[in-house]
Amino acid sequence: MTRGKWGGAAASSRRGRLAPLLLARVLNVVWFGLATVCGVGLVIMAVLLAVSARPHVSLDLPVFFVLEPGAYHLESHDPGIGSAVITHAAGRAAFTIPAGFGWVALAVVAVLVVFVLFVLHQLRRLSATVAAGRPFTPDNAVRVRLIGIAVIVGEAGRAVLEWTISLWLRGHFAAAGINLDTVFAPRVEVLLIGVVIMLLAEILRLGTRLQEDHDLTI
Amino acid sequence: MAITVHLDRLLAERGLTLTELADRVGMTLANLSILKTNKARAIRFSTLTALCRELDCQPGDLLGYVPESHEVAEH
Repeated sequence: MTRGKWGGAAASSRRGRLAPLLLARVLNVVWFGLATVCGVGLVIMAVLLAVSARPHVSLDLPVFFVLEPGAYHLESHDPGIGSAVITHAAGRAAFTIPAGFGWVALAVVAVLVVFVLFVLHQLRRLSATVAAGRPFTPDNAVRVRLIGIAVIVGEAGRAVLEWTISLWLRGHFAAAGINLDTVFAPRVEVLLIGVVIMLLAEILRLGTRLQEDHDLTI
Repeated sequence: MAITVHLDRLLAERGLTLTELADRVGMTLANLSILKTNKARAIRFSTLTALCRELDCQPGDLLGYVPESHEVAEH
C-alpha cells in the first residue's frame, strides 16, 4: 500500500515536471538556434561591410514624431463628431549613411544580440534546474536577480538608444510640420516588471535557505 | 557549532562502523555523515530515537553543548 502511494507521488511529480522539461528543451533549441543565426548573421554583415566597395549603407530605424497641431488631422464622416487632430505618430525612417557608421550600427546590434542571449541563457539554466526538481539553489536566486537587472538595464538601454537615434536624426533631417520626438522615455511598466523579478529573486533566495535547512535536517 | 554530535565516540565504544549504523537505523550514509561531521542544522526526534535505540544510549550521550567562545578558543 505504502509502495503504491509513493509510486503514485513519483508519477505525479514526473507529470508535474513535464512542462518545465519541455520548456527547458524549447529554450535550449531557441538559444542555440538564435546564437547560431545571430553569430553567422553578424559575421556575414561584418564581412560584407569590410569587402563592400559601396560608400554608403542602408539603415531602417523606428522613429517617433511630434506633429505640429493642425498640420495633420482626420476628418469625420459623422457630422456629430469633429475632426481628429494627430499629435504624435510612429513610423520608420529608411536612409543611407556613410559606410563607416555601418560598423557602429553593427556593434550596437552585436551588443543587443549578446544581451538577449545572456538573458535566454539564464532562463535556460533556470528551467533546467526546475526540470530537475531542484529550483531552490543559490545559483538560481542569482540568475533570477540577473534577469531582473537585465530587464531594467535593457529597458533603460532601449530608451537611451531610441533617444540617441532621435537626436541624431533630428540633427540630420527636417520636414515641415513634423518634429522628431526626442523625449527620453523608458517604459515604467517594464521597469516595474524588472523590480518584481528582483523581488521574486529575493523570495527565491529565502526559499534556498529554507531548502538548505530542510536538506540539513537529519 | 554550539551543539556537537558524539557519534564517533559512541561508534568506537560499540565497535560499529558508520555504514553498519546507517543500515540499522535505515538512514543514508550521506545523512549520517552530515550528522557525524556536525554539519546538520537540525535533528528529528525520530532520528534521535532510532540512533539511541541502536546505540543503546540516551540523547545526552549523543549530543553535547560547546559554548561558542570555547569553540573559537579551541580553534
